[in-house]
Amino acid sequence: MAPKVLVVDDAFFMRMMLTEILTNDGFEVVGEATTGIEAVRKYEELRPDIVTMDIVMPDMDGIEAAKRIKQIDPQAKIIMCSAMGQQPLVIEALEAGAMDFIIKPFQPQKVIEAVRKALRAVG
Amino acid sequence: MDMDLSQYRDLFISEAVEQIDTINKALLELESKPEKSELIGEIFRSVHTLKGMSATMGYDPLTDITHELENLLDQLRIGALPISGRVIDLLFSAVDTIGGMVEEIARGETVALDWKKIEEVISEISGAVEEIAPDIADKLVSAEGKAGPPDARAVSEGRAGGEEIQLSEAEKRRYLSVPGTRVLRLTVVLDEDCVLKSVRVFMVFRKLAQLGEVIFSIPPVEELEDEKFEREFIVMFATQKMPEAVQRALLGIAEIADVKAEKVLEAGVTQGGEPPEGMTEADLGAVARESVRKSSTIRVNIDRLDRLMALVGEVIVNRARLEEIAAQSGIQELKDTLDQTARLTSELQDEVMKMRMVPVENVFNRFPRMVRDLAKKQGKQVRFLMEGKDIELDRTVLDEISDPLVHLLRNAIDHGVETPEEREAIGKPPVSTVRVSAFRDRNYVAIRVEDDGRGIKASEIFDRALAKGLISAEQREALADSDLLSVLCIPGFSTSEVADDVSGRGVGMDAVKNKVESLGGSVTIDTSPGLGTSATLRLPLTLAIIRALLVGVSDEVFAIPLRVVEEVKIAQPEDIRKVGGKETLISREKVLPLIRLDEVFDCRTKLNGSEPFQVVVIEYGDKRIAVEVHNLIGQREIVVAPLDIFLRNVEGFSGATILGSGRVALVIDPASLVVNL
Repeated sequence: MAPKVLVVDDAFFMRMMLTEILTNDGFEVVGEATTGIEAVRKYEELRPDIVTMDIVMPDMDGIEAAKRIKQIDPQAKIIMCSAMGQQPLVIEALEAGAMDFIIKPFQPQKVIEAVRKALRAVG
Repeated sequence: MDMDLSQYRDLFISEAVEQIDTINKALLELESKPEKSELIGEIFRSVHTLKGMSATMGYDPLTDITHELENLLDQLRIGALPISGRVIDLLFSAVDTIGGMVEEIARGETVALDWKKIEEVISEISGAVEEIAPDIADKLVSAEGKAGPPDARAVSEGRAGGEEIQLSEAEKRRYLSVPGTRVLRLTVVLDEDCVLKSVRVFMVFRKLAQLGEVIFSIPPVEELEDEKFEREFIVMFATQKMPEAVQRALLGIAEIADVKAEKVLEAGVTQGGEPPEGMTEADLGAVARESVRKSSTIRVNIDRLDRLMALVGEVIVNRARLEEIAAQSGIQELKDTLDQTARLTSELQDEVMKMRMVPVENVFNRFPRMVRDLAKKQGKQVRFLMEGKDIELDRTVLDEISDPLVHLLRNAIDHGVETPEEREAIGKPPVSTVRVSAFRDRNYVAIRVEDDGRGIKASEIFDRALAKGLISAEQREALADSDLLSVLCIPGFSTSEVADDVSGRGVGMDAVKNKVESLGGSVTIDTSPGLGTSATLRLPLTLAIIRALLVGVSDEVFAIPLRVVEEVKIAQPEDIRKVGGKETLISREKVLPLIRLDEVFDCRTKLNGSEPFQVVVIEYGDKRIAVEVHNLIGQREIVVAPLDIFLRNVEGFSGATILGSGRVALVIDPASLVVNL
């Protein structure tokens, strides 16, 4: 069965990109969320195998959302989506329990690598 | 895997435009409420999103400029930089540049980007950052520097720089005192194109901390944090794990190209020790269950809607054809079914029409910013109001109407509104009011642009037109106040004495009028000297399907848009008067120019001049004409198809439609009938 992915990003454009990259590689994007709050809610509802999480979003940022998801499910696998120049935020997210990060602009093979590696690892 | 990015271009553009709108809106609010710090956060988010999108599309200049802007906003956000008028202006101009770039991308001119301008903006932004807060660069560095693997901080100096790796005797003793401990020399190689190397380092150290103890690294950890290394670094690592296990664990991190693990030292017996993975039970109760506004909209390409509209149009045509057949056949069951079909297709048509409707807000949104800039530039004080933003118009109409509205607003601020001094001198409040309002008016939507400025003196306009040689002295004499609009709309007429970058761009009132009329709308202008001016555009709700009056002229059938039909009447031959060699019709004590369609369109006349005849009185803009037709066929809903490219220059018709009988009828363009008078 294809691994289930929840894609979180406030930009529709970014969600499209990620979804295409992931779908092309055989992953199933089971849901999308546009804010941190929605991400937490969708995680509970969909229980995806992995989450791609944007950092900067309205309502609740990705780091907070990652923390909350980790509270709900300590095994949750979250990959942060970051832009250049956000080292401190990425580190904060990793400390909050995110497994990895990918950098915009997304390179498909990097996205896939990160997702695959995260799925193999222990949450 | 290669991705074709071009398919995302339109999406990128539409989302980028939305983000720019959001930024502009927030900036405007910030300007009046600098204390509202959450606005900075909002702007930051939009800029950040833009940056990510631009980088993905490979629009480097956009990425660079948004990146700089983000830095500036970050300083504002943490309060290192005060929000001053200058900063706001800078932000506005940066957003303009971004908007301009997006527009160029939209026009497909990716190469024509004005690098010089972009570099200017970028250097201005970074200049502002440096000037107002010179220590910011340091702060940024230290903020990023906090990314440090804590375990490795204690690494002693003096091992840097490719020096032979050696453990001190004390270290050896210490590690070997624990049974099962191995000291590994790990060589970690990152991917060639790895970005945020320092974060990868962090992840490596974090993973290692779970598996054992980092003794030291080459280069030292401070340099790794600062990304002062190429692709490779070495870690001396004490662990109870097998070298292969450590290697595997590190390879499990993304963007790690290679890991070598060599055993340097090993103490006696091995004990399998599991890393502590101290995960606490989830505290489900603590999770916020805030309900989130669910998005109930999807985006659909406008082409699809157009296609859907065209299909519905064809269904309607077929329905009409079936109805004619049913009427001839006399089969009741068929008629009943068709009645139902008729109801359903009307509903379908309604729905499709509604889908194409967008609130005028989409166009209005850019106005506050424009008005602000114009007013500021000219030292005028303007209170700008917008009303009826939720009124909806067909997407195609709305797209077309944006430029004319901009022009009217420019006129209002340029020519209408006085300076505060002028206003006070004549007892007006120094702040003027400019209002854009949209409202429904039967089958039209009216959009009005009003100001409380100086108004227009018709006689002055007429004199200027005379001076410019646009009208003759006799024509000048014959003009009345009601001709104001016609004179303003003479091509080449502009009330601005000096052409600046605001007006004088070669778009005059004539362009506004032409555009609006080509959409089947009309323009009216109302002005009182000293009190202000208002210009009203009346626009049809939609273009694609219209109600039309079908008329027969000789053997031809023509469709006249019903919205311009004022009345249909029987005229008597004696009502015709010749004025200046041209035929006119006396109707309700008014003299209307009479047009005989059979002459205009050169079809055979079958009436002799002595019988009563039917005329359709057309009101178009401020003109009324009587059009003679041979017979009236009736009102129909028609789907207007644009004329083929080869026929587009044929005067007199705005499109064609297929009738229920399958026959083609040309749709008369009232503008062309009126224009030749």
